Amino acid sequence: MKPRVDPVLRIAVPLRVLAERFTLFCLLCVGVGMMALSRAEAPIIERTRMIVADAIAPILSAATRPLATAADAIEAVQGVFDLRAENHRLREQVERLQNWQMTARRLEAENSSLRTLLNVSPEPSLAYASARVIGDSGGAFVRSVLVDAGASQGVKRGQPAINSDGLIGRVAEVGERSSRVLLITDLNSQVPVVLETSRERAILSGDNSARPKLVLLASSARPSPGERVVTSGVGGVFPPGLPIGLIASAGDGPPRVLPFVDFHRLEHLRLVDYGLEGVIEQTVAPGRQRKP
Amino acid sequence: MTLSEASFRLDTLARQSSPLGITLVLAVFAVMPMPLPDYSILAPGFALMAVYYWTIHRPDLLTTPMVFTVGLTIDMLGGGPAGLNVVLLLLTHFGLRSQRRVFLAKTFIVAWWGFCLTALIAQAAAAFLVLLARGGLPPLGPLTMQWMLTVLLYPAMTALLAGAQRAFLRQV
Repeated sequence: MKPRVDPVLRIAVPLRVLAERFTLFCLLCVGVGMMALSRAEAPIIERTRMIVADAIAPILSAATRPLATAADAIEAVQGVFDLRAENHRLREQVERLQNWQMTARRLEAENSSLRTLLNVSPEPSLAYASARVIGDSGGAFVRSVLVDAGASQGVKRGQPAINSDGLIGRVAEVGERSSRVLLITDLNSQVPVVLETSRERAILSGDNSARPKLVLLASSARPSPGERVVTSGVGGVFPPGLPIGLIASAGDGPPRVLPFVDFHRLEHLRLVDYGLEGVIEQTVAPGRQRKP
Repeated sequence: MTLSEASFRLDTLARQSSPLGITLVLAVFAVMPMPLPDYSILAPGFALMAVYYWTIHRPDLLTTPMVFTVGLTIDMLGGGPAGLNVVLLLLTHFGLRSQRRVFLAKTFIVAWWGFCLTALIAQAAAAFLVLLARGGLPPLGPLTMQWMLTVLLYPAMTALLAGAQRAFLRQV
């Protein structure tokens, strides 16, 4: 004889399965909806992202501190072993830089006297916000970092992020205490640049690889490997002359640029307010599709 | 309700929420900047490992809404297309729930093989969704490396999660 199944159970079990399937379906729809909104560049996604980032920023900030300290400690121990060589190298560098300082002072004086002669308007003073990297994009699909400075520190969307090596990227999303910087290597990053010696203009276009490519370069241009690439200032997002990198060996396809910045060791960066109000409104945030 | 009853209930609740807690910590861990070369590009899918493990071993404690929360956390913290991890983790969770007995009864090698396949499908699906969302595909080299790293680290993660399961969830 077959055991009798409780009639309540007979209804409850399939109902539960149905409810679970329904929940899954609804949540999947939410996920797909989010992707669609993200693609359509809906501001709600950016706002939500920055609210979450702001909420979790203190935790990330505290959690990354010991890691940074450990990395510093390892570097310090490594540094002890080549102190002598380092000292020698630094002495040489000091000598070289003193010569440069003299040249710079002379040029600065000459520049200011010429500016006075020509009545050139003075350059606007810069406002900096220093920030620590507290989060990475964590994946192969996007190149951006989360930093612990936001609107309350005067950070605005579109500001360039730099360090002592050169240009890192630009601010794509701003929260109250944190913001996201889109790196120049990201698929959606496009920076107007100029080759320093040949003065050829081009656009530095990221493709998520370590070496972004130069596009829209004049067909007559022959970039030579090792030539410096700096921002051109066209478009008004980046000021002219920020160092970016060197032309890597020219092979097949568009020429590629080896950035000065070591993106794997980004710890601190500066978000600079150059007072430029260029095409910031039209810039795209990470995770959004580039407009053709 | 007496005090001891209340503390017992609280204890049980804390133990039962440990799978979600651990998975969320792993999700946050993946976006932390590490002083390792290429880590940000090759960051292994720790959350995927945890979702795979708990779906097989304790699906009652990592429910569909919890998996959604984990996916949402990753999407909001990372800079990628929003919704990507929500969709991927939910599909992984759904696909595994019907197959969990296959992996539960067999040796670890079978579970590892299953994870290898799951991670591969997830990575391919992610690449496809990113292509749709951003109109461009990142270089395939790092994607393959990321998948391999995720698969290679799975045994260590299993040991860790099994340890947590023994420590917190033996009686609940």
